[in-house]
Amino acid sequence: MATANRRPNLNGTRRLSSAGLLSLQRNEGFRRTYYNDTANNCTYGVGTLAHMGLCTNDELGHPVSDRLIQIALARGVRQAEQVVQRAVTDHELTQDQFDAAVSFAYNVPGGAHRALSPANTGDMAGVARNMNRYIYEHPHDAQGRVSGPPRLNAGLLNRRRAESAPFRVAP
Amino acid sequence: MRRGLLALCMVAAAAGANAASEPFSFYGTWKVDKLVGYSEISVGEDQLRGLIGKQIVIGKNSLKVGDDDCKADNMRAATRATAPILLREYKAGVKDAGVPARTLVLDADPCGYVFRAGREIVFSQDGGFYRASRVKP
Repeated sequence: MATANRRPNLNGTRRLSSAGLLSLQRNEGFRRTYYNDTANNCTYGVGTLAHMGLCTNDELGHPVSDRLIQIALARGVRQAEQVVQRAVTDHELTQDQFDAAVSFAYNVPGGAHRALSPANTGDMAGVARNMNRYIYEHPHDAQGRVSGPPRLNAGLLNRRRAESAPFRVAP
Repeated sequence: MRRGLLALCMVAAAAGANAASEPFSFYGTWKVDKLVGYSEISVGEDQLRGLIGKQIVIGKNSLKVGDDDCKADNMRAATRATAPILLREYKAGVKDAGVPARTLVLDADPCGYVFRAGREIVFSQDGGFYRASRVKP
């Protein structure tokens, strides 16, 4: 009975647009092989993390099929869409905001719920501020342990500026 | 006197055994003791360290971490392998989070996951992993 009184999710049916998907692919990059990302974690395709730590010699440069890349991308996008849909239920996002939020959640799945939640009360400046804080990366060594202090990543700084832009415009 | 001491020792041992065999529960109030690791991407170190000393309150339908009160739709606890959860949800590994490879995990959807680490818990916020100890049930 309790669910009968639940308010509708205002972003429950929204999906990532084609333009949003292109933007996400541009943000993440596209590689048809296993490679070490800037934090030294083994990655492939559209920023799909294979595992923490450097790729093994066998993995590095090993080709990955387009089919596997697209499956991983679709899974990551769906996960990110769900994070956004569950984080912002009470305020309808514009398509640009939703796309930017999905790009952010694809990159920072664990932090997106909290970062996006001010949108529920219309505090879009709060969302932009939160997004722009996620600019530090933690490189790993070959054993998968964090090596050295957190590093401010200029690429992340630019990406966050772009992702937060739709939340900084006047409604 | 000797018999009294023996009785006291037996009571203390029994109490210890009870404490050890009590089923672990995530519910209650916890205190954030330390930052133990990071996801691949996080906020700045100063902001992360600001959570140390704050309280976590885990209720039947909520996970409150510091001033962030998150309503959970569905709380489920089960013993699970941690590496797949950490990789998928946090872009992190077992060493980053400082949790066992297999442990009791509370899925506080959509507020995140809480991991059992001995008598303590590990959770993530803003790209940091924290260890917390129990204040009260």
